[in-house]
Order: sequence, then structure tokens, then C-alpha cells
Amino acid sequence: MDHPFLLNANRYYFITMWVAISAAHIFLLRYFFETSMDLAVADSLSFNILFAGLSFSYWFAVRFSSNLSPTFAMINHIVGGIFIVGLCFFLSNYFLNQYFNITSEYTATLMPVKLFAGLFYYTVIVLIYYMVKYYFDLQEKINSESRLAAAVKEAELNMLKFQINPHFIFNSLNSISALTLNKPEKARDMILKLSDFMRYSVKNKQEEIGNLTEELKNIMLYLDIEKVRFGDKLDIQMDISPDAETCQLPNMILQPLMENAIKYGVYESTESSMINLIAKLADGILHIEIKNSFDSSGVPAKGQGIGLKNVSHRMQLIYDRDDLTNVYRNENLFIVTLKIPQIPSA
Amino acid sequence: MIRVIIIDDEPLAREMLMFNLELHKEVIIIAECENGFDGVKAIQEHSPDLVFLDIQMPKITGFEMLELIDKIPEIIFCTAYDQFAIKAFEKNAVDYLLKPYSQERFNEALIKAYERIKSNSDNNSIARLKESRELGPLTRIVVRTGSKIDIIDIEKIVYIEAADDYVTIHSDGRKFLKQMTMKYLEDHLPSREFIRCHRSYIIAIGQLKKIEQFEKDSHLAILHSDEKIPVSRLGYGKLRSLLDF
Repeated sequence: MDHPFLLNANRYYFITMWVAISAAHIFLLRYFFETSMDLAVADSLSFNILFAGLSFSYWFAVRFSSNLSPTFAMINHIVGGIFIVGLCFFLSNYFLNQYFNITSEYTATLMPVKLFAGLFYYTVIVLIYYMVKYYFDLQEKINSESRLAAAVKEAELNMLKFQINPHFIFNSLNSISALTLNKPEKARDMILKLSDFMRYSVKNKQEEIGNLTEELKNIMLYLDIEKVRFGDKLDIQMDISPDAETCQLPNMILQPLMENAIKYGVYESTESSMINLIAKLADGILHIEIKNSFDSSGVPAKGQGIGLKNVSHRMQLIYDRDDLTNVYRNENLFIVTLKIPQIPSA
Repeated sequence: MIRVIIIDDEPLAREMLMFNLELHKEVIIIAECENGFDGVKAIQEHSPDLVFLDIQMPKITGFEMLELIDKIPEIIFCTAYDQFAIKAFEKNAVDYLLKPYSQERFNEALIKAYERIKSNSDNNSIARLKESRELGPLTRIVVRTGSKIDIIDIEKIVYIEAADDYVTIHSDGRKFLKQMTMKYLEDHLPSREFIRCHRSYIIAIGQLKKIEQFEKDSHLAILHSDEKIPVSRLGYGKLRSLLDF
């Protein structure tokens, strides 16, 4: 913590204040006590410069005393106050005695005024120090709180990001294992797709926002792999308007939705099922709709909707709005829509 | 000769199993099924010696499938990743294969199965298989009536009544008979939604309309369907602490 009177323009205020006090001091001596100009100036400067110097360094005493209990701090300041005011008075008096012919009556008359003024300056300065210190502490607290909030948000976002489902990985590896038996070409193709898919999801752990083309490329990899696993049980249609292709969206936000659609459309169904993805740009908002058919006679197993909840929570954290994710369900259609605000090109 | 059925929803996974079985001339594959419904039918019809069973499948899981079978054959589970399931069947199945697996590992499992089939020991591990489902609360119950399979959403259950070795599940205006114990249901149904109010009854809390005094030491639970269910002294205490009255 720097000395508050050294920060920015504060040093000038500090000096100006003491110049004003010294001037007032001179004026009072000249007006009420009719002292000579020389004596008035010497008296004022000797007392006020000393006082300004000592009170300036008193900041460190205030900082130190913040570690003490209130009672000790109070004793500390009372003793400190008496010492500083006393020291200034006696040193200033000693100096005046050396160079000016002053009477003891002069000293005695001015003593209570000076001591009183000294204690007054001292009190004001200590109070200012305390206020400054309180302000500094508050700033520090606000800073550390906002740092903490940012860290929490980041951790939360990281947690919500898509994680590759181990079930998917091991089943895909098993499919590859089967393909190596008599379709080595296809096995190789699937290994390449799986590696590209994994590379994308690992890479995008670090970044928050990507574009739709990249995201769709990755979704296609994923769907291709699932197609190898499930064959013609999976029917996918995509309808992407050209102006939507360059739109921004959170990385890997579509992946869990696709996974959900496949999970309830394909994994849980004995018939073939349809998945439909529509993306279009309207009024600066990217609209995405993912629609899948499902068998209404089935009762979903546990674990339903965690992926969906994570997506909605993530959207809320990134865009600070909770109306961007919507889910509709009717007899045999499940529809998720996302509205992704496009930040004007920065 | 060992008669085998393969149940897996992925064509390539079935292909892999068949490839591994080709080397074993003493094995004959009598059916290949791509879902649990067909699996139940095939097992009931053919009574195989051994079944290779996947766990995650459409409609009903491998575990739920086993609940529906009268005479359970030897089972080798084949699964990709199922940390809870592995724990559950480690004790009870002949073996389990984690996909992908090697031919050696496959042979090992098959040899274990041979030994079990030869000794023909009707040990109780088979019986325990019925209860080796995934851990965690139940979300649905699978019931077979003749050749028909129903999946009951537990949210639609009104109450459950004990009937010897069976339970009668009253759900959605229908009754289903299922071989299961009250203890098992009490432990696995979500404890905030169901309460065992009597030795022979479990009711859904959401179905409760009111509770009336019956005799000095017992009460009656009146459901929204106006059915009356006996409440024991112990059950009344449980209801009071759960509903806070």
C-alpha cells in the first residue's frame, strides 16, 4: 500500500494545505499578536514544516496499528499525538529562542493555541489516514471478490463443457476392432474420424467461442462414427442457410444436443429414427433447431437431460440470459432450439 | 454341444462375437438378437446354455431383460463402459467382457462358461443375477405377462401390494405381477416419493389423499383413486416423519 499523499495529485493537495495553514499561522500572529514579519514567518515555518513531516510519516504508524486491537491502537494514537505535538512545539520554540529575542510571555501565551492547533491537525490527519485505509481495504476486497467470481465462473464453464462419453469411445473402438477383421479400409477410415473428433474436442477445451462451420464439421464426424455403429437406423437431415455458416457459437454446444437426440432417438429405439438440424440467421441472432423423433411408448432410463441442462446453464453463463435455450416435446418429437446472439464484429 | 444366443444392439459388436465363436466348433449359435425384447423371446423359446449380453440397449437394458426370464442361462456380459454395472455383476456373472476385448480374453470367458455348464450347478448366483442391476434409484420397472413386455414408469405407480413371492404393481389403472421382493422395492424406489406404509404395501406419496383412523392401533390411507390401503403403526410413524404432521 503506497502512501496516500504520494498518489496522483494528492502530493499537491498536501503541500497546498500546509502552505495555507502556514499562511494562516503567519496572518494570525501578525494580526492578533502584532509580531514582526520575520518572527511570524519563522514561527509558522518551524512549527508547520516539522508538523507536516512528522504527520506525513505517521501514515506508517496508522498502517501498523491496524494489526493491533482497538484499545492498543487508541493508546498508540494518544501517545503518538502527545509526542508529535509536544516535539514540534519544543523544537520550534528552541529554534525561535536561538535566532529571535522572544519573551517568555510570548511563549506562554501561544503555547495553548499551538498545542490545541497541533492536536486538531493531528486528529484530522489520523482520521484522513483511517478513511484512506478503509477505502483501500474496500477496494482490495472488491477486487479479490470479482477475481474470485471470475474464477468461479470459469471453473463452472469448464465443468459444463462437453466431455467425451467413455461409452461412445469404447463402443467405437469395439466397432473398429470388428472392422479390422474383414473391412480394414473402413476400420482405418473410422480411426481417422475418431481421432479428428477427439482432437477437436480436446483443442476446444481452451477456447469458448467458435463458428458454426467448424462445429458442424465436428458434428458430422461424430454422426459418421455413429452411422458405422448403427447403420441405417440413423437418418440425418441438415438445413443450414449460407449466412449462418460464419456465425459464432459456443464451442461444442451442439455436441451434447446431438448426443441427446441420438441417445433417445437411436439408442432407445428399435426402429430407425430421424434427426433434423436447422440453422438460420435472423435479426443478428443465430437460430438453431435440433429435432428428433422418439418412441413415445418407451420410458427413458435414468440420466435424462443432464447434457441438456449443462447446455442451458452454459448459455446462461456466457450470454447472461436465461431465455436462449428452449425445449419442446410432443407425442413423438423432441425439439431443442438455441438462440445465439451474434456480437457485432469487433 | 453348447447352444448360444447373442444379444447386442450394434451389428459390428455381434459380428465380433460371431468371429470369436467361429474357432470353437463345439458352439452353435441359435439366435442373434438386436434388442432386449427379441432377447427375452429367444431365451424363453430356445432355453440356451449361454448368452452373450450387452447392457445398454434400446427399450430395456440387459439387466432388466434378465428380470423377465423364468430360467436364466449362464450369462457373459459384454459392455463398453459401465462402472456401476461392472461392480454389480462382478460377483454374479460367469464373466464379463469389456469391449474391445482380445480373442484370448474371450476364450478365457468361454472356458469358464463351459465349466459352469458341465458342472450344471444350479447355484444361487444365477438367482442373484436377477437383482444385479445398476446401482441407484429405480426409474422404471419391466414386467412380462405371457409374451408381452410392459415398461412401467415409476412416476405412474399408484401402489404396490405384496403377493407371496411376487408383487402386484398398480399403475395407470392396470395391474402387473412381478417377481420381486418388497424389501428390494423399498430399498430402490426413491425414498421421497414412495413409502412402505405396511408390511404388504408400498404407496406413492403423490397419490395420497388423506389418512383416517381405522382401529385403535391402525390407520387407513385413502388414495386419490379412493382405494383404501392399510397403514400399520410403524408405517404411520414413517408417514408422519416424512410428511411432517
